[in-house]
Amino acid sequence: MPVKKNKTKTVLGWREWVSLPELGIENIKAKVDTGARTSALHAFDVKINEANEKRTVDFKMHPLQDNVDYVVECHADVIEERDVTDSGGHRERRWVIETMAVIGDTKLPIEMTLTDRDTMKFRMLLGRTALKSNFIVDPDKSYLTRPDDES
Amino acid sequence: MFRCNRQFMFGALLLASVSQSVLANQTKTGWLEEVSIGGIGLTIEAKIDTGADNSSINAENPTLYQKDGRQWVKFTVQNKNEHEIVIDKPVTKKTKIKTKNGGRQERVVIELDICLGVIKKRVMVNLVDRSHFKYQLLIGRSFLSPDFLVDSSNTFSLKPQCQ
Repeated sequence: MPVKKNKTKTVLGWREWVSLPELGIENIKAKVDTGARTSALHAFDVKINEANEKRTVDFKMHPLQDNVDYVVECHADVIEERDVTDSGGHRERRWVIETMAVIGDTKLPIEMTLTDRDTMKFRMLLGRTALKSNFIVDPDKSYLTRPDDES
Repeated sequence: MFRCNRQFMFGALLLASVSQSVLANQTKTGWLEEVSIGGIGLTIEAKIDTGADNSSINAENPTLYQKDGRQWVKFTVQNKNEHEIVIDKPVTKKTKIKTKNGGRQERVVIELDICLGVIKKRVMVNLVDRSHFKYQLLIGRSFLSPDFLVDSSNTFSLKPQCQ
């Protein structure tokens, strides 16, 4: 019989501050979204490098909401290309990266698809796959792991 | 002065313990659950979505009409066993939703009773064409707050059992 781990899960609000240290993003406001399977990150100028054995990606992003002047240049390993259906029901082929995320005291690798979310309010969505082992979500609260004024 | 401070401290402690007990009363739900809607009860599968402000439902053949000086809407909801109910409600309001490609969409909003576990609430629900989506009903934060905690590793953990 498999051993069932019953560890206590950390409660997150529906909005949380997240760090993505490997991408050079210290603080990004994420929407914690149990309606989404995969996490997503807003990205533009996405360039795939296939020269080496390992496929990598360079992209730029605006980590601050409502601010398109501050740009971070990021680099990550590509896992695969995947078809994703967005909240409007549109199917889209997206690049998937894996990167370390720090949420409160928890550090974990997460998969994220890269998408142009510039028209949407949140530059990052934290979906079910990233949530399910470590977190539960309180839809009534926000910023439980770090106060909002710490940005 | 000292006494005043002590009272303040006591008040703060009391407040802290009250909010603790509120937290303890939250029901855990999975990200996918069976809920019942519309009082007489059609059981349908709903996606529990902390990313959505409000709830929305797939309304088949929605018809807007006038009754007693106000606008009503009549539509059909079908579950996966092909049981269906007709819902006939006054229109609460019409709302504009921002779509991903920057466009705007007008949606009809009604008030609907939704039962998840033992908790029944009347909330605003947007009528949408969700025919190309997997789940007919999407339950957002206005229903879930402050009664539920959502566990993304769980599904079908509650049965609708409202009075």
